[in-house]
Amino acid sequence: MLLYNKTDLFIASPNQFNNTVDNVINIVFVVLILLFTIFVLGFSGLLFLKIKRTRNQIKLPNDSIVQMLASLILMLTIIGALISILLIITLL
Amino acid sequence: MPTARKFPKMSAVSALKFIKKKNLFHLQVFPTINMDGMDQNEKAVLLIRTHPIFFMFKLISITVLTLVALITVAIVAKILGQLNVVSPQIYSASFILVILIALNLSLLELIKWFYNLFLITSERLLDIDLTGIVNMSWSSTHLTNIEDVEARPTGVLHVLLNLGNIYVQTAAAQAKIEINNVKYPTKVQDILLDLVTLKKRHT
Repeated sequence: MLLYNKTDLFIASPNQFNNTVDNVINIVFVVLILLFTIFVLGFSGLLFLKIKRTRNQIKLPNDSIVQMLASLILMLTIIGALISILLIITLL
Repeated sequence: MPTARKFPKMSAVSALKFIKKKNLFHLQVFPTINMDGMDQNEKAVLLIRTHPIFFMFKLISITVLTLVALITVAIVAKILGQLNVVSPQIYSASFILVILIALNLSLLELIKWFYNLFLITSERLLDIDLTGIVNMSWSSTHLTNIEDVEARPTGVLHVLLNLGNIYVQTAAAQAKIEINNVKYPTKVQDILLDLVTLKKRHT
């Protein structure tokens, strides 16, 4: 069944309308996930830089382990962010 | 004929030996440290960090919150999955994001614990405070400026684990330097006070 307005112009069928709503919801989620991905990437990079800069100022015992952990987490974050971006690209 | 001044044996020596024997990561005696502005003859005597149990508490709370977030995503995925509203890729991406956020928050907590420290050297007392990713303060005072050191255990956990907060009163504009939740606070206080006494005698 088609929906018409007063001027008899075509608007959409109920199925088309539902699809549009679903698409809008999907797009909102996609934008949110992209924003969070960028935020997490930036956060991880900043943490890594912070450790590197602080190590230049003060060298403490075992701080190389902390830096190694930070680079590992940064790598994991980059891989995770790439995977989530790839997953989202398949939607677009 | 003037006689040589005899200094009484410092109790800090036995306190340092006691701490060294315990071999704790958060309380290190004579650690190898290099930092900007360190004099040639300056030696690090004691490195003090907060007891790791407080870092563990934060890790546990991050883990619990992550689990709650993952369960919420799963429940929402199940409810919305029946309605076919949101694509399954979005749930997978959300799962990955939640885990990544948890990992990064854990790292932040680790860095905050690692770099919040008190460093007693032969010349000065250094207090490093890392409160966020970008907020870091370095307070340093010469041992001769230290007027009073207070060790104050507060709370049940402090009594159970022999912890306490240490407050250092200085003659400088910044009145107090403090570090919380330190193991063996009275021994640390003793070491610091003896070093101050020794330094004041030599100047």
